[in-house]
Amino acid sequence: MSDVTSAGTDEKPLVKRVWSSHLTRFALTRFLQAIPVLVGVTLITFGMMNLLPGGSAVALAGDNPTPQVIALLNRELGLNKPFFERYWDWLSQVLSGHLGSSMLTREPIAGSLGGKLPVTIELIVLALIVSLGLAIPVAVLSAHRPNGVVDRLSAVVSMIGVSMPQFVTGLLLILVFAVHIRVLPATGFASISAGPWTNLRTMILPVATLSFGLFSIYSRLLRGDLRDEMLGEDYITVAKSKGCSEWRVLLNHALRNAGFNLLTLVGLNVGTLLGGTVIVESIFALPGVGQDLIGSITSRDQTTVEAIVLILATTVVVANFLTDLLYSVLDPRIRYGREPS
Amino acid sequence: MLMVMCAGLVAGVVPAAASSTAETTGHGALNVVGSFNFPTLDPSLATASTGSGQPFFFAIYDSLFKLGASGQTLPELATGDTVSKNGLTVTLALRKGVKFSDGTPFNSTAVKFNLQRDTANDCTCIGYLADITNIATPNPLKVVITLSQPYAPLIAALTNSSAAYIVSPSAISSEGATAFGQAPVGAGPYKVVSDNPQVVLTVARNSRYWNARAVKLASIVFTNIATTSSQFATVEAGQAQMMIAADPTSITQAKSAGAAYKLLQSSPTSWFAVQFNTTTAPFNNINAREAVEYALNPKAISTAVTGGLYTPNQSVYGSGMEDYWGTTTKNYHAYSTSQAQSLVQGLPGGKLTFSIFGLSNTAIYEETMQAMQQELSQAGITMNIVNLTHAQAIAQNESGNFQTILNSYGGFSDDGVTASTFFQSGGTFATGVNDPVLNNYVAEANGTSVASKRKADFLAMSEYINKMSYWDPIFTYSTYDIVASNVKGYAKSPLLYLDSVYFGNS
Repeated sequence: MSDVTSAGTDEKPLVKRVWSSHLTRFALTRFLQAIPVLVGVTLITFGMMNLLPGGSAVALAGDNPTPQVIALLNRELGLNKPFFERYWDWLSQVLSGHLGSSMLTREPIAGSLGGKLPVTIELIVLALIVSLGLAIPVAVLSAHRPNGVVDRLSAVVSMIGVSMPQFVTGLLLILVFAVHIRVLPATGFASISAGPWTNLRTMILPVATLSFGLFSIYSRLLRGDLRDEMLGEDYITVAKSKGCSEWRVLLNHALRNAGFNLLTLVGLNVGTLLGGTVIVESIFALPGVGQDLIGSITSRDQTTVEAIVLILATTVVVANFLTDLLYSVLDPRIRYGREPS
Repeated sequence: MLMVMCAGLVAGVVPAAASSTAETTGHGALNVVGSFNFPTLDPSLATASTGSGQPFFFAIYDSLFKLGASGQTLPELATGDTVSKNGLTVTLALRKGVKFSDGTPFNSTAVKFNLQRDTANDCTCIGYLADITNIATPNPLKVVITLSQPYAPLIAALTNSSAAYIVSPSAISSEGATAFGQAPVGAGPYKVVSDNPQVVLTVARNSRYWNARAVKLASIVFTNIATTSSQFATVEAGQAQMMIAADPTSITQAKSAGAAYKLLQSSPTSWFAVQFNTTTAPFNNINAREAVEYALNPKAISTAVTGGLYTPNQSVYGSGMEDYWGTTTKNYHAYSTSQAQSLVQGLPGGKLTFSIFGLSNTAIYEETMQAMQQELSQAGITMNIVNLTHAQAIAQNESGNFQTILNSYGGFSDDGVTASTFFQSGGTFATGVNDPVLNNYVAEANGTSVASKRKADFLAMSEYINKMSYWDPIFTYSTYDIVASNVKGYAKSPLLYLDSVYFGNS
């Protein structure tokens, strides 16, 4: 490959400049690190699906299976091949850009997941918006007046949010808002094309269920960090000594620095969040990827399980990468790949 | 359309409007929730197209024969059948003037096409069709099936298996097999309007249905909800009027709600029973098997576990089965702790300890096994409970690596299918029994199409099973559907037919 040079003769070639960019090297390194992670996750999933007795052929054979039918289906599905040969077949297919076909419906998985991903993404995005949108002001108010009404109330609410399983939260919300007050639907989903409000009505209870636990963790963590910053950091003392108001110090200085821990938690929490969507989608009958995953595991649809796990694992890897990347945006002192001076 | 339906469902518009319309005109939309399984609606490819839990298959396709209240075969798309004396030829007479919802004719060519397609696709019904050697269509209303050996359960298969459903050959041809699974065409009382696989299925009245005047609903919406508590909450919230195959908790809640709901009990074709592995110790000793049978009190277990919802039984046959003979069977070892204790004392070492496999995370299994454990302990018998996942349980059943299994199986309206699956050795599942006498009973019963002889054979088989204590029956179980009190017109049967359902006054 020949180097492409820019107009200036004294400048470095473009490729060299790009490679010497710490961000590029960081991104490439993380990309290379992601490969064994994704291979490992899919291989473990493949192995676990194989360890489950029953198998796709038994599921497909129905209520009255004969050994001949099961053997025939195993051959048709390629399940009679050795484990690593099957895994390699699947991996090669994925590397060529195809997620394969469902073992049960024999339809392309990409097509069926295409309709389910938006539901899950909407759920996650709304849950993040709601949980962060509530957690940040509550944390700031709590930090502004420790042991005040907001602080004490948020501590109690957060304790409940952390200790209550999503399954229980979801059912309680259904009982109150769908069964007794009847202002929101108990289950079901309407897409955005049915109208934004119609869509939102179906998402209110699922989003509330998913974001309750997140809000509880985020608000307490941020509140604690804000208090640490306000009490112990020199720059806060300097800002105060310059005559900045308590609110200005809190919002302009402390919040920005305390936000790093929150950002880390949000990034690391993506995996947990995805796990939560599986439960929430089941409770509220949302036609997302999580519900599909449960159904596919139950029916031993190995190719669909693999495809979903690959998507979820990739999402977690990308989320963690973006979190790291955001660090450098929020704090210009951080440059990945550079030794600390 | 799906979006419109979803919007209506969510806004609570569909059920409310449906109910009021139904009361005046007899039409409306029924919203049904349950744990459905419809990745494809092509019966030839579907893994579960039968049973009371999948009522949309009948709604879309109708069936060649229908099941009556006590499991008897009734005419539907086929008006009758005749079996030759040697049992090798079965002739089906088809209903005249039937059309698929796409307007193409339902005839013998379509039936032949379907049976051949089922075989080629390895449908779940393939075990029933294995003996078919030829299918002739002498005229549009007659199908002549030739068998390699007599096989009595064939008509049952054309009643309650995926072979019972006839798809439109022209739709398969025009849509292609894969697309057909999401936009199927049948000759049933309803036709598919929209299908979001495994999520929501909407069917609307088929005006071309041969008995269209009997169809009173405008549409039915089937919504798949994984958790039973959410299913019942959806009914309580007024979003749905029917919950299919309700769990005991929801049934109790529905009962406590008084007149708001009714319970629709299907005729039982399934059972809970202890399956003994008679090929290894300790249950290669008949006294050990009898001791367990004497020690268990099915009535007390049913009361403790289900509040008496399930019926104690003395055989592994239910009243929803075609050749059912009644609730009692000769040679049954009725509950007697003293008899059990006496038998245990006579066993090697004077004690009996064994393990039982049951399904984990399934309340009915866990509670039944716990109740059994208590009763057995009173007779000096130690039972260790081993909880397995469903797949593990199937694998253990296939491998034969068990001492006992708390087995709940059935769903077959034909006794012969149950018999060949669970009592005849050499099949997919290890029956735990290898007895030529029992194998012969099964072969005899399935080799005749004379109803009275079949019934006698099955009764004799059951008495023999009791005599040898190969299985210890506990109770038969039905599915219970929770239905809003303004829903009328459903038929009581092992299956759930929704063709004549309508909204009426509560």
